[in-house]
Amino acid sequence: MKNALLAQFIPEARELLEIAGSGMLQLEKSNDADALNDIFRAVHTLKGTSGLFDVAPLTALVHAAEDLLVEVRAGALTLEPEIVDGLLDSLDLVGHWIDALESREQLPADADGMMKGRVAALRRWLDSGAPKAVANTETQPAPAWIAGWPEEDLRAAYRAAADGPLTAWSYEPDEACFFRGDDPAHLVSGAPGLVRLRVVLRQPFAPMESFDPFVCLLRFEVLSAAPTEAVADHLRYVADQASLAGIRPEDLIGLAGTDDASEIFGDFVAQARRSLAADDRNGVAAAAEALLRIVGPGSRQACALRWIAFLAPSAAPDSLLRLVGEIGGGCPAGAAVNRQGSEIAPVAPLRHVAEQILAAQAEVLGVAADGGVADGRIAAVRTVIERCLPHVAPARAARLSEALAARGGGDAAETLRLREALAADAEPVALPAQARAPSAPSTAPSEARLPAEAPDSGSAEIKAPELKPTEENRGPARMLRVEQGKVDALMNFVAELTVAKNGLAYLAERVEQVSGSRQLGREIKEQYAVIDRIAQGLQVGVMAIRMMPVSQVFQRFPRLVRDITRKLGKDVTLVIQGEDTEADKNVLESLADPLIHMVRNSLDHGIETPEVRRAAGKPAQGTLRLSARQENDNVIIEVADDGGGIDPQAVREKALRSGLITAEQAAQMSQEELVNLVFAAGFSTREQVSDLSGRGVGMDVVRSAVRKAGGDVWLSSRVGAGTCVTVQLPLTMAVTRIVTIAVRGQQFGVVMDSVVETVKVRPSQIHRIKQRETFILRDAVIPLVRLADSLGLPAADDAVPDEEAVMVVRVGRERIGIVVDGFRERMEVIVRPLDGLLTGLSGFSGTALLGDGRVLLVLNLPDLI
Amino acid sequence: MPFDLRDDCLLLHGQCPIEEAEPLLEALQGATVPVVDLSDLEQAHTAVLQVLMAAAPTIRGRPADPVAAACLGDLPQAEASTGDRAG
Repeated sequence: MKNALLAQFIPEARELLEIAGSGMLQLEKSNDADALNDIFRAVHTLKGTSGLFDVAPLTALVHAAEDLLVEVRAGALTLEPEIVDGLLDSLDLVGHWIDALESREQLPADADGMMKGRVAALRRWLDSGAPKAVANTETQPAPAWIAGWPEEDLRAAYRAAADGPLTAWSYEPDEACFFRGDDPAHLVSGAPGLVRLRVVLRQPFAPMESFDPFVCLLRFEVLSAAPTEAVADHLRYVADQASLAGIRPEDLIGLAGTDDASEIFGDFVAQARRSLAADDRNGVAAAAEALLRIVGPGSRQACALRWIAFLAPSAAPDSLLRLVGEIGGGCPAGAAVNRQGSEIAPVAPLRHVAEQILAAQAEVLGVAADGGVADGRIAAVRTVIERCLPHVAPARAARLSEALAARGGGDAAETLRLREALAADAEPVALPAQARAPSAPSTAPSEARLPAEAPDSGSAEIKAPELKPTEENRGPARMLRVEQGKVDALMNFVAELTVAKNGLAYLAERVEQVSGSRQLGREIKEQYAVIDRIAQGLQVGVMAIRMMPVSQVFQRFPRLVRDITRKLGKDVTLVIQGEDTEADKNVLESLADPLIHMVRNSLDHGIETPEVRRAAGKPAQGTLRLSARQENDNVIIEVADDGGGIDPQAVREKALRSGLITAEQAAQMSQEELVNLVFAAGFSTREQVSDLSGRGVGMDVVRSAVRKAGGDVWLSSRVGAGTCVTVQLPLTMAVTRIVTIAVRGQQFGVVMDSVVETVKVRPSQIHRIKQRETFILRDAVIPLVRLADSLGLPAADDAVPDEEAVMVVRVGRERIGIVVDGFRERMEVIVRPLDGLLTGLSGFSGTALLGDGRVLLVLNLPDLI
Repeated sequence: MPFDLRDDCLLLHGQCPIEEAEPLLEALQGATVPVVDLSDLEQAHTAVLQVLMAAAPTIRGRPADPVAAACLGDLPQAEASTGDRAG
């Protein structure tokens, strides 16, 4: 691919689609906010990055999906299965387009048309959900941060809103937003109907020496005289970082300060009520202003007076009356002007101050100090935190007291613990946009100046906070995305090295034979041992790169199962176990298609419909279990269902009818053997399988695919209880350990994994059962196969030997003895598949190059038996 | 260049992109008593505003952009600087 950026985009997009897809399924199962956020983030990122390329239909489609998700997240739209279907289909379409992008670097020609159809479908749900959304936004309560605003700003906002819409919104860009090209300030300043805003620090700035200008620490609190929808539209790209509330202007009226019970207020209340009754608004305003000149500005009553003076000319009489009532004090809670305002008023200022103090403590702990000083400092910080506890949010207080209780671990550990607890859920520390109103009770200096003041005082011992190392420790694992071809090429070289290394062993022997120098031969062998060790290390390393968790294959199944069961009208839960089991990438890829086949079979033929299940006394919901585990050098993957199972008699009849087995054979076969006949080639394809209770669609395809990958597959089933298909695959296919055997003067290779043991058997121990030769090995009857006969080699000239060399191998789960003439050396080789003229040659799985240049044929045992 | 170093102050004017954040930070760190003139500043990137908030230099003039004003409103104002220049 020429476009390197696009090449990077494609795997990333696939990953995001994967996240979104699996999240969607999870969401459908349980309404999980995390899953929704994951989906949202994935879709949002996909939309953002796709904008870099000329793929407008893709971006538009993802955008439509995102809009739908926004509604779902806002709670305005419930996620019906149909909507999930629609979203999943859209993601599939995007997936196809990504495939097209990969091969042709452009979208298919029909992309635009398809996009329009999909977008229209998605928008339809959006529209049907929209009226609900509006209803929702209107009833939203005012956000708590309004209580912390200076009164002047609130009054300005009240004035600007008049009777129009008013939206209170906050926007907290994430720390890395600059790197995505976001400019939060620009976004905020372009917002519709901007009236007043405040910029708040989420956490105090680091000292200037270690200040990172590219980490965004700001939070914006804004009042806009615009409808919520307009603001939401403006913020649509950062919707996950913003929260909006449509509020009424009255929500802005909040009273803060201490209660002042002076009698003078009682006089005012009486007079104001009279004036209001006479609709003498100017009189009320004048009286309020006059009273304000007398009383101190810090009290709740003064605050109410200022509002009255401000509102008197315009506001409705009843809201004025309520304010007047507030001044009188002692009015019932129901008459409170703004529940939030009056509730928060006594708490918020203290909490705010407490937070500021706590932030300062974190700052103090961040400064390095000598041992003696540190001791005292920690004690001081502890005291301060304890005193602040009653005033902070309950959750934060609990965390802090926990940190205080956990002692020990030395000064450094304690410092770190306290700092983490302080930083954990620190509330943003306000940095007001304008000078504080005189009534504001806070006397603490604005937090932003704390770190800045430190350098001014000329103290040199202030160092960067020790936060950095812990941050690095927590960083994500460093990953490298490498093209598979490169790893494969490396693997090939390792394999070549392994073979070349084997050549040294031959060389050592030749040196001994030709020059007769045993010393030299030994030295070569020593050198060989060193190279052997390194080559093995290299091989293990490269193999580890290629290892992938089975989850890579399993992750597509939740979707598949969901789609099929919905289509079939069945109710099935998918249980996945052991998805962390690792296997070679090529092995897993060869497994993907057979697995899909098996899962489909289980769902289609195995698990019954809910009605049938209930009638059989089983739970209506069927279970499909996918599990993976490692056994020795093999990966075992099982697909098990609790469905109807396979009826061996039906299989037998079917096999007899199709001529697959003879009546005699059938009589000899165990139930298990009968059931495994479904793997036989041509078993299922001749007739419709639906008349048979079991499955069988293309199971022979499954078996041939698995065998091609060097594995095996078998099946066990109980009628009425379910079926379990077991696939066994080698962990890796790259380098194979083989043992060479000699038959009639020719050498062949046998894969070591299938060899159980080698034994010598006297001819007298060989018994003949019907046409079969057998022998008894530790109380088990093992059938014998003469390899020379199987390969069609001429009969031996010499007399029957005293003992037969028998190699006991495992084929499937059966043990079989193979009579050979002798065993030669063991070695590691790369088995190359048969190609060209040799393709389709039965009996051999491939060829291998030996160290001395000869070509060795590797036997495929199942074919020979 | 939207960011100039004068003998007595740093002058920000026009549109201040994110690229200015780092040089500005260095300049502010280097200055003993940093003074920043914002009279001609139209708009500044959030990162630039953040640098100013963290360094808390003395400010001359008020930025036109409401967000910039909200960010920097709390910084100390140099008195009568505009008057001096006008005179």
